[in-house]
Amino acid sequence: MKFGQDVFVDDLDMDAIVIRRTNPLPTGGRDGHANRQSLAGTHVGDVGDEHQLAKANRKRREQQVSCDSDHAQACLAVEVRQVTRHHPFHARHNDAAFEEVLNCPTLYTDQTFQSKTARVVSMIQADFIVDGRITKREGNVTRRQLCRTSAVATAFILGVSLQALPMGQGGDTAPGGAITIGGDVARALTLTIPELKTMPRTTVTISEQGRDVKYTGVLVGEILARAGAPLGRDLSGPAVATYVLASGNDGYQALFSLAELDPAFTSNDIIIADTVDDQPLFDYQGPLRIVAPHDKRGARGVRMLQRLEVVRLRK
Amino acid sequence: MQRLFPLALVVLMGSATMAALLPPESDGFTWNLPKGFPAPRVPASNPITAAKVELGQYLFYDTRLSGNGQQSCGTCHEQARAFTDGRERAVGSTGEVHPRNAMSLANVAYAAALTWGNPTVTRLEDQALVPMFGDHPVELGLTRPGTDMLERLRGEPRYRPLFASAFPGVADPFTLESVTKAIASFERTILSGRSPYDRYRTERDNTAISAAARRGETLFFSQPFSCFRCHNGFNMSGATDFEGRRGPEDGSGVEFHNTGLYNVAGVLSYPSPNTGIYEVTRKAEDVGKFKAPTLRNIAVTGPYMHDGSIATLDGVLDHYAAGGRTIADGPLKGIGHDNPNKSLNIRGFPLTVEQRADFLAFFDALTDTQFLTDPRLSNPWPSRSQ
Repeated sequence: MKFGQDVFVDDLDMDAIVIRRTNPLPTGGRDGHANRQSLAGTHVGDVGDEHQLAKANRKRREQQVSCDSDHAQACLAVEVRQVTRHHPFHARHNDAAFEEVLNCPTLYTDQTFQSKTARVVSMIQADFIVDGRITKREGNVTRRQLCRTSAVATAFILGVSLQALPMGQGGDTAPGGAITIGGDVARALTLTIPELKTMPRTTVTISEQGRDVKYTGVLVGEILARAGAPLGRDLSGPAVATYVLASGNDGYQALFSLAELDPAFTSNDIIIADTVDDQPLFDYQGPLRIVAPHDKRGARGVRMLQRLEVVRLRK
Repeated sequence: MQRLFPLALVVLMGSATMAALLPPESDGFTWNLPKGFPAPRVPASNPITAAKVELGQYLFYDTRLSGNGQQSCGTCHEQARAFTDGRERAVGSTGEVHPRNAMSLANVAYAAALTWGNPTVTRLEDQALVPMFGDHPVELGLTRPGTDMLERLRGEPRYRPLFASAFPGVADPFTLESVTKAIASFERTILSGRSPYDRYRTERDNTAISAAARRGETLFFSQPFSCFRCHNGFNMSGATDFEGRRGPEDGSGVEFHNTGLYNVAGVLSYPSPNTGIYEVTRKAEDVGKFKAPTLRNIAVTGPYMHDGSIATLDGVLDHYAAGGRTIADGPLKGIGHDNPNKSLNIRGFPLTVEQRADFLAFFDALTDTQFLTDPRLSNPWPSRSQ
């Protein structure tokens, strides 16, 4: 299915990233709406004035690519603009290697491309873009990882992510069947389902509409441990004020304290499940979802799970 | 189908005493439950039996249960339409137009609250009295205490063994209590859960529904559209009740929703008499709140909404996409989007042509054709029609 119209990429000093999709989006609203609106590129004005935009546009070096996706439903255009060279972000990244990465003209459209850029995209969406502009430093992505992709490719992935979320909040963009763990962890990582299958497995049974349903997967704590989150003895003092934000690719999010995910701290058995009754999850659930068997309500059972964001409130 | 009447309550209270004196009813009955469905909760005062179900099937389709002798329960609840009637609003035996759209009876055994806007009607045995004797509006148009109707039933030779079998040991089983118990028993067997979507979900048959329907399912259960927040669970409806479910059984846990269908000027934002559970609670915040019906067989149950005011599913999607309906002119003029009681789940959303098609494909996949023609649910009368 054709989803990509044209993807325009400006000169990339990356002071601001504004993403615009061509299908209409509502304005205002609760929850994801505000974020979606900003991602829709309607808030350019809050990151630079028209003069700056005009100046940036003079430097525009557009690259156009057309992209296909089996899952696409909406036409998107992704536009990355330089708004100002004086944003603190630029000061940190105005080096040759960074410019080289961002201006790399190569575009990959195959699965290799997606897997190579997953971490980069995760970083960009989670750490860089808030309300349509870059607000944080590069986070956990390494320069080497950045070199694997290009600005165009990044724009492409962002487009894929957004089209997959009809009204999403621009959450994680790990490709289908993978979970990305980022934020305040020692090692940001992405785990695929095959990788999850090699980890210690936990099965929990919950009652759904009077019927016992068996979910199998990996304890969230087990996954967070791999990412170097402070668990066990390390989960004390300021670290206790740490939370984990779980995001689905439909924009849904739920919050857990790190302590309630740590098997050494509690016995909540909260898992990331990849099977239900020994079968893969249904489309609307998966391929990954959270199951919190001791929650009285299912509202934190984030379906279509893509990202865990660890946030330390006290450092 | 909204109100209980004092006399009916008296009859029920009296009959509850009688029920304690009745011999146990234990003839063989087996639920024909779709895979994954829990067992319906059955009142201890009315154990389900095969004989009662059979009697109830005859009564459900019997026009003797109407004042004009031409209507039965099945008149407004046609099997081929998943037990709805295809009208915007139902028409009673006197020609009076009901303010409400006839609800589907599919899986009514699980409904934690039975009517569009009354949380207190939770037992089918009680609800059956409403269309029989209600006069606001008149539905079947019977007169209290129903003696004439019972005499008509007594005059039908087929009923004598049916009543005797359904209520063994009772000297005269031709009572109003017996009638409502039998109808309720039959209604509990109106089970729909064998649609293509069910085959996909319970049999893991990925060929059962189209790719578009699968995409529609994902949209349905996604945060942006959030349809599932009101139409959830195995019945894709508001609150359900079943055997073993924890929680109140009196309908107090049922949520009713204002979807922004109206926002008329005046004290009440919904046009009378369709003001939702406000009619019962008299709380201003309850104006416009109605039950979320099952979406099973939804493709064959139009027109839609509590008053049948939206003709097609396309129109329903438009309503929710807009976050409430805007009526530009006339006495119902108003911007439903701005209704002060509107549910937080009704936010509006962009809807592409492809997504709309996917939604409709998903809704089509919910049609249980076997259910629509199952002879166990059909009119058993050879000549008398509903």
